[in-house]
Amino acid sequence: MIAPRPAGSPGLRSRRARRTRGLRGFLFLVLGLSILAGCTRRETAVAAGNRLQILHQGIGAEPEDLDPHLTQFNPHFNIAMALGEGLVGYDPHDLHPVPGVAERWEFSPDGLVLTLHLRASARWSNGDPVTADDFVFSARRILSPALGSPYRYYYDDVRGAKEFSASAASDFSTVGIRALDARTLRLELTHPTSYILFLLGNWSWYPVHRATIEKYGHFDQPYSGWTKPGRFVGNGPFTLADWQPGQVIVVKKNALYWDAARVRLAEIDFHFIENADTEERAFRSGQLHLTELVPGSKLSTYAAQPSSPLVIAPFFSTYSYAFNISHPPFNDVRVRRAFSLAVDRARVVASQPASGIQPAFSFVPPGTGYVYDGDARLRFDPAAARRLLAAAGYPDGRGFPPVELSTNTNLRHQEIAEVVQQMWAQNLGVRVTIANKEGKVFYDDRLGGRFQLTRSGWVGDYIDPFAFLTVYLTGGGQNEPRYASAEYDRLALAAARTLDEPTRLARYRDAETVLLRDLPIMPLFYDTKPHLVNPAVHGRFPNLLDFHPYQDIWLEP
Amino acid sequence: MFRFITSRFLQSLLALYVVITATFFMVRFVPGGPFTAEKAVTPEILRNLEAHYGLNKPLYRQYLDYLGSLAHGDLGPSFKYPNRTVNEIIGDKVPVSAELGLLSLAIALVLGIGLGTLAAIRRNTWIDYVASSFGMTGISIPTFVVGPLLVLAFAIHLGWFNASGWYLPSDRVLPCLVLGIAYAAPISRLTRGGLLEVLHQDFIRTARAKGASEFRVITRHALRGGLLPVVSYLGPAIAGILTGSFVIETIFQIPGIGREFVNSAFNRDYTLVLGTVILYAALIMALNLLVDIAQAWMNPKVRLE
Repeated sequence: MIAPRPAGSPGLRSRRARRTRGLRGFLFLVLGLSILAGCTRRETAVAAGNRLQILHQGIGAEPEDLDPHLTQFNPHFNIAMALGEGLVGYDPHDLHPVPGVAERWEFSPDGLVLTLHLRASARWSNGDPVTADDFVFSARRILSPALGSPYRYYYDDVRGAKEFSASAASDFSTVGIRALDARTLRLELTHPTSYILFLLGNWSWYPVHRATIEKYGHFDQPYSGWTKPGRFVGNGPFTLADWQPGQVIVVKKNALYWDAARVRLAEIDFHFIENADTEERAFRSGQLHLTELVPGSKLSTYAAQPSSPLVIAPFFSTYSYAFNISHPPFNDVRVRRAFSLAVDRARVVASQPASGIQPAFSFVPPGTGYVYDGDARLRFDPAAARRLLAAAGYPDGRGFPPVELSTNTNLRHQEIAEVVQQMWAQNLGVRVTIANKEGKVFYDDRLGGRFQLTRSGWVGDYIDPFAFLTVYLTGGGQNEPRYASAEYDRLALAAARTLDEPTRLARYRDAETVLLRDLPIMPLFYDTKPHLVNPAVHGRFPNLLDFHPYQDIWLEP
Repeated sequence: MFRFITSRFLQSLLALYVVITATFFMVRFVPGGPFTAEKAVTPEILRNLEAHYGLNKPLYRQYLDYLGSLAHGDLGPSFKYPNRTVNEIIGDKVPVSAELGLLSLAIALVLGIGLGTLAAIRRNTWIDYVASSFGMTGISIPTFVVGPLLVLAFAIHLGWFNASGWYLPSDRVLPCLVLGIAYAAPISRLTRGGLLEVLHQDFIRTARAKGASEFRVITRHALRGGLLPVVSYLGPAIAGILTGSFVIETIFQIPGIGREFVNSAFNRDYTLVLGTVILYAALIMALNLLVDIAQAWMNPKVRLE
């Protein structure tokens, strides 16, 4: 190929040079113009937010809907808590129930009837008063099978609620929720429930505005569109101002909220950022006060910083592996115990540096006042593990069938699985393969019992050990190993229905002892919930459920 | 020409129908469904949901229903965002991806053709080396590396731009630049190669002999033939800029359709999967047709049959 060297008269050459210079100039112009658009260091969203009391919070994926009765995923509870309020609220430090829409309440001596007195000043964002009838309507709505609420079980302790929601009966009078007058609500319980007040603060107990819901559809019709901006009526400290699909939900202070004087934030922008790395970059560039996630690879770096924005709170969550106890080899409790004893939980925890996770020696995490001590079943004892496996017929792992551990695709789950896999190989001589499954396939298999060993995990819904122990009651929806023990059911239910605290906790211990004896799951560690928090955010305290009432939050650099 | 376009159009319709049918049945046979979640859904809730979406009907019936509503331009309700229809979601998000795509394409063309041309006419000089290294670097380094690097420099250290989002005009700069550079790199290499091949041909010598200016020789004579490889590359590239913007949309949190295209499959959002697949299939077919027509116009040797 010949190089294009045109006969170069000086004139031609200089003209050509001019052209190329022109072309080059043009390129620089385009680049320059595109950069000029934003070419100065501007006030960041966080700095402007600090000035105007606008909180910018990352919220993970976009919520499906803002209906409090249909809210499902952890970070979206934040939006629900900004837009609504239940009969009780939560203290921001330890989440003990504090007056909300109800200004006071009393239990009957047997603990079966709870009478709540609503405050006269409680208002919907359109000015209507919040009445006891609103709560009766809301209960009827969430319990209606047609609505399909995943959180109906929050009403299970109310007399007749379970039966009503399981049938197509339209007679709501069988359910123990009654408005005695506009400001008095009476709840009848099937049995004494120590944590009922805590449940009343949950969004599944939030009232919904009847006139608005019936304007856009049938009262028990899911996703009728009543939650769109301009339509939504709530009773929370904030009202819905804007929802830009794929980007942000904006809520503004509700001047009609009964405790508006306490609310210092003027606005909260909930940004949808699914990717943890993208969110972390947004935080660093001053777009967010708060992140929902922190990339695992960045934890150590942040932890090492002086005055780090990294906040790691203990979380009411246990990370476990569940056994399929219906099929060999894990139908033999000796094999299950051998697998558990062969795992050094300290090494599992060490594989996730700076994450704050703690080795689990019980299923119920600490923090509720309940401590499970007297049992060493979850200790690390490879010699005992080998003996048990030999007793089960697999000396040194010989003849052990091929076993697969299922996890969903996620770097952290993968890392943990590999550490545990190695310990099983080393300490038991057993080869376990890891199956990484795409999310929906994983959940489908797990709920359907199609696994041998699977990653499992639980986050408590309310602060009581029963929030955990309820999972493995016979026939429970999340009872993945399909554990069924009449002894366990009896002990756990008896404990939950005991009002006296020391007795209740002692009974929980009895129940958990049975669970850890039978070992349908092997707890690995208590999980945490790391966030990046700008130092200007005040009034936000680490707590077990990661609930942070916005009434108490303000911004001050 | 008319016959060619009509027959290609009919072929495309047939292909689209096959794509729709295959996608419809394939997503149904993937394990897990739109209502599979970490928490168990009770059987009666599942029944209600399935009745609500018509999933309780036999599959062939659902297929016919879908084709029926598709004929009216109705892509159905989304499973993941039950308050919104697929038509609304596509209507919201396609303009965003189109804006991102077109701006990036403009950057890619200006940068790519400019650098490629410079490299060709200044072959084996430092300009050529710089342009060629740009091409190689741009091809080898993926957008998920370039993107965060630019964010680190311009958003976090210099504070000129936001790291993510799609709110301000300045929010367009970084993502469009990253996506533009990714496509400018191959375009510059194709331009250089195409031009070099053309520049030593007889008709260029003739043009020069007739006294045409170098600028005129390049722009009027050489580029028209030299850009043919670029044009055939542009068909799939434009589709790629629009479909492949998934990575950019994720890195920069852009509410575009590329993310929905991928996420809808993870969510088993049957209707949204179909909606986005139809959109992209139609787009790719239309672009390929346009490329064929453009090539025929640029190169007399290509005839449309």
